[in-house]
Amino acid sequence: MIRQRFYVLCSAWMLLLLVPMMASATVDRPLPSDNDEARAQILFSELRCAVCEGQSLAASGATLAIEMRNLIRDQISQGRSDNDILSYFAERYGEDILMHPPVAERTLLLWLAPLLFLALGGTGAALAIRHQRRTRNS
Amino acid sequence: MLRWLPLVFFVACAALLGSLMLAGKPEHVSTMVQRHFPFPSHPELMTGSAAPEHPAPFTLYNVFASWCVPCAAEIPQLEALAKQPGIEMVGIAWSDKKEEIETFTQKYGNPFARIYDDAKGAWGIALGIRGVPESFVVNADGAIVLHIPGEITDADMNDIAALLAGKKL
Repeated sequence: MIRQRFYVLCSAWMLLLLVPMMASATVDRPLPSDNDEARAQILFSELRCAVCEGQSLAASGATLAIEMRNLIRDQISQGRSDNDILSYFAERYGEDILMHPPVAERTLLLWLAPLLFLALGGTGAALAIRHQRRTRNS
Repeated sequence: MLRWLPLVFFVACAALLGSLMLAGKPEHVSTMVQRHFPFPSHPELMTGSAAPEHPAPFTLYNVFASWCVPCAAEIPQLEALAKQPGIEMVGIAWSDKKEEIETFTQKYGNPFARIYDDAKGAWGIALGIRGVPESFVVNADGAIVLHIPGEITDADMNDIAALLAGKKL
């Protein structure tokens, strides 16, 4: 008897937990055409989620991210180009919304940094090898 | 001497990155101020009367949602502003439903002359919002003069008072 009551209470509790899940009506609305949806998915990975900045738009479950994904899909159905869509977001959220920052004077160091580090490491390695050879020869 | 180079390099890098980290995140600079306030071609009215033909000197658009706690918390500030001449409060119900908004306004109050329905959230995204609430003060020409991301603070209230007194920000 007590056990039965316990089960009823548990199931009632679990149903209650479902309420907020049902309340959030914001869901992804994938495009009917596979090609268009694939294009949308690529754009999602090109944009940063505005609330959770470490993540791309593709990976985020935030309401804002879902609404942004659906807006991108709407813009694709309206025939907008990928560049149009990306700049629509960059205009409103600033360039940091783009996962790949544009090449500009301001971001030059960022883009050249890998080459810089490669050169630095290469020089270091060359010097070390030369030093080792010299000590071995003497 | 050369032997210490990697260590020196490492310490220099650590110092640079560490200081950048401790300096904290740079604040997002709004790209919306001074731009034209975007208005959908057919905004759907949820409650209240249609927009007046001649708008007040200033309109405060408050993007909010029924599930958002700080949105409820700033209703007193909005109600205080609604009493002031020269500024009108307008709500934009972001990614929400009419019934939910009705419950919200019954519970916390309704400072808005009208509430527009932004069910798909596209209007908010056109405004560059990063969350709710966010507020935009728009002048009679339709230009955004103040963008308040988040809850309206005392400093924001002072800014709005300055605007109403005819000062430029």
